Amino acid sequence: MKVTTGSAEDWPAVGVAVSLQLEGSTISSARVVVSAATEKAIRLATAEQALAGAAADDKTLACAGDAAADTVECISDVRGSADYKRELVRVFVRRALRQALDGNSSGH
Amino acid sequence: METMPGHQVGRSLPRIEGREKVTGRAEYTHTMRLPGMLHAKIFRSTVAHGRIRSIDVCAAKKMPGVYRVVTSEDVRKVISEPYYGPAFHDQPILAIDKVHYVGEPVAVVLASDPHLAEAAAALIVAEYEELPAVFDEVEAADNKILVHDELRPAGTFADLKHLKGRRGTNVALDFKLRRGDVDKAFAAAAHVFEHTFRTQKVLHVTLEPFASIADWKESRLTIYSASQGPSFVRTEIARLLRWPENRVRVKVPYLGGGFGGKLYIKLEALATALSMIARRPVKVAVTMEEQFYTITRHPSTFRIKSAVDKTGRITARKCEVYWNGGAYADVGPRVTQKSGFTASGPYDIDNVWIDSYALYTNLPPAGALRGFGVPQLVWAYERHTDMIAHELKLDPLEFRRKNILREGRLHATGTIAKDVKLEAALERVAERLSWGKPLERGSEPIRRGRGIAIAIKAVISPTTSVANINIAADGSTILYCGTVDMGQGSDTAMAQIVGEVLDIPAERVKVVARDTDVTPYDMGTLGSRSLFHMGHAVRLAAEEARAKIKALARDVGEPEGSNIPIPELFQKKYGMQAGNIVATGTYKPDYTPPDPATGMTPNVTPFWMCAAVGAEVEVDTETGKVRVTRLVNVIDCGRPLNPKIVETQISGGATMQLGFTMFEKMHIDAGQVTNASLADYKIPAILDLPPVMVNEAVAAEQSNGPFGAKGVGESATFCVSPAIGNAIEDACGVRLSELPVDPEAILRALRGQAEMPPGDAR
Repeated sequence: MKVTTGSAEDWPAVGVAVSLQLEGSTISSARVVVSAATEKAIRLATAEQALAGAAADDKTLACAGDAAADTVECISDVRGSADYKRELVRVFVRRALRQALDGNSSGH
Repeated sequence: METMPGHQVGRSLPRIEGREKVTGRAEYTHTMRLPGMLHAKIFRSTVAHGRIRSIDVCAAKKMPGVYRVVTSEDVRKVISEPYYGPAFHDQPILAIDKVHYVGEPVAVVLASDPHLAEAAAALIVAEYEELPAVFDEVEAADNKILVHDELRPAGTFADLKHLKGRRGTNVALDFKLRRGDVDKAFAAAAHVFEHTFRTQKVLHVTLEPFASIADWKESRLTIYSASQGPSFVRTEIARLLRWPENRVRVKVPYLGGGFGGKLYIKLEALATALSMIARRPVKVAVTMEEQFYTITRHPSTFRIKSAVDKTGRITARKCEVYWNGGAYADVGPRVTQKSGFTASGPYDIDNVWIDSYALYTNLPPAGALRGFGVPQLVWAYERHTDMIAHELKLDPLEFRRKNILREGRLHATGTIAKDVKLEAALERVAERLSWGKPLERGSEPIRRGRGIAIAIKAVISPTTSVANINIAADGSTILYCGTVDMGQGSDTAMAQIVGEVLDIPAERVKVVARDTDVTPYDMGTLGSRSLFHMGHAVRLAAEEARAKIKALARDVGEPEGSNIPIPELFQKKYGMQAGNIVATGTYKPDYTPPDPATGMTPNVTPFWMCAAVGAEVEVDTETGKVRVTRLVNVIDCGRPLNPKIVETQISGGATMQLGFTMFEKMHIDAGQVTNASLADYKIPAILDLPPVMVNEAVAAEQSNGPFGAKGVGESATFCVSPAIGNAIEDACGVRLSELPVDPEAILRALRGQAEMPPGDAR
């Protein structure tokens, strides 16, 4: 998921990629990667841990977003301050997870 | 749209040059070559303000293939007073003794290959004694750090003469307007509101960057240039060379965009000096990056204060506007005055006080950009209007209706608002937004809102246009017209006017490209003036040609009302296919200069432009991101001579201003532009456009315009920013006062500082 704070064609302020494995309605494992807001693309272990073994519901996704925001180290630039990008990470990790789940449930 | 009797005006004729352009055959200066031509590459200042200690060009000179390296010392040997500019003669061809901004041209490498010249320019080393610099327009007004020692106004404008020799100031021009008794009105006011608004530095981003070629010979000079004003270039170069104008020829092919950036004089003086030094044709063509160091739009700070009575009528307004002109004045003093006098907005206010200041700072120069300062003013006064309406719990539409400048009333300048379809435009926008019905407000995290804005602008006056027409013995017609077609479709519109008068299809009229040896004088393609001024000149020339055709018919014994084909008239007169009909038209509107004491005049402009915009937005309250979902642009351009071109001018202007509203910004660190490229400075692309965009002209007739028409190029830029700003406030209550719209600032405002502490400096 590409997140820009200016033009849609701008460099991303935050990039988020997620993958999930489900067993029934439980998340068996997850990968959460954040880029652009950070010095290099990184996996966010705390967010992944928040997801693994948890129910695939809104509460879990919000916890994963919060965990991502709590641990990610963002850099400030013209696209946003580090604090702002941390908020974007919180929101877009959650939204990316939701999109992944919805994609899964609708058979994509 | 109904057509006129000749069926040419009112027709959506496709661009007459369109086919040539889309098939890659149209000529542009940037891709032009002359035999024996050298390429110039500019070495630029890396400091914002400093004395030049030394310029070491040895390594550059030694590079194989380099023809010559040039500094201001060499320039002064061929042009003794090498300072140029439209309002002030303040800009040196190459820096002399001092540099005044990062990016200022300091030296030039000439080589037969442009890439080699660039490599050599990178070997030049300059040392500077750095001086304190000033970047902010309000700080510059303190005059603690001076950009220039002395003001150097040009003789061109009578109202700038009093500034000559003034020292110890960064204020290049202070314009004042005083109407009524502002202090008394404020004392008696039921409510007083005061706000400050700011706009950022942005760029024209013409897709064809600046380019000029000079070919100097002992007795004559030919300049090929991407210029919006060939006549001015000729006058200014002739002044620099102390030559009569007839020895200077300026040719302008099509332009890959202008937007006000290519006005007056830019690279032409440098190209001329280089050709004189090298005695060969020299081309100066800059890169996209270098455009950021050539000319930009004025950042501004606008303090606005209004008095409102119990009934919601605005009784007084005080405006204090600071224009950040950068290191050289360019046309900033005209922006300061000619836009400054509309700073109180399109409202009927009895007591108005305006102070408008042009400031020098150590930034790249600022000039005209599609609106001559008006979009910056409208951002302030229309956000102010909505903020007042919200405070007073009045509907923003009703509040505007109550205070709007109505037809026949005096504008703050003292000039009557005539042919101003402002109310019609506002009502049309309200209708297209279904203002009377409640808006669906969205569901969390999205909040929806809508906003409106209105604006007025006067055309720059007084200015002159001249056009010539030549009818050949076979009846075919050529129009000689100095208006520069830079993408706005002027050649097509002018051909339609000729066609209308002479009753011939417009596509049969040949429009001769701008060439000062051939096309007569025109003040410049600027400020939406061309269709009105040049349109009149072309109409007058065509009417004279028509009269001469009639006279020729009489001459050869044809009865009155004869419709004998024109070639037969020539045949009868000259006995063969021979001779010409040559006709000319000159137009200059009436104008009364403002009273120096009050800044007021009964005749400030031959026509008013006006516009209204409505916007609907969605604010994502979790991220602060704004999406414009609907943009309704309605303008008054009199009768649209070419409805399709009018529509594209509206959509183009609105889209350009959408970029300036939503994200475009030159980021500057200690005077250095840090995003000087299209990689980092983005203009709107297809994904940035609102899904619904309405582009309309209200039904109108400009009573003194050619076939009822007036200018259209700028009008759609005026109101976009405040309509969006007002919609954001309506959606989520966040009051923006600065551009561009910043999602981070919105999120911070939504949450308050406690929940998300201020971040480190950006």
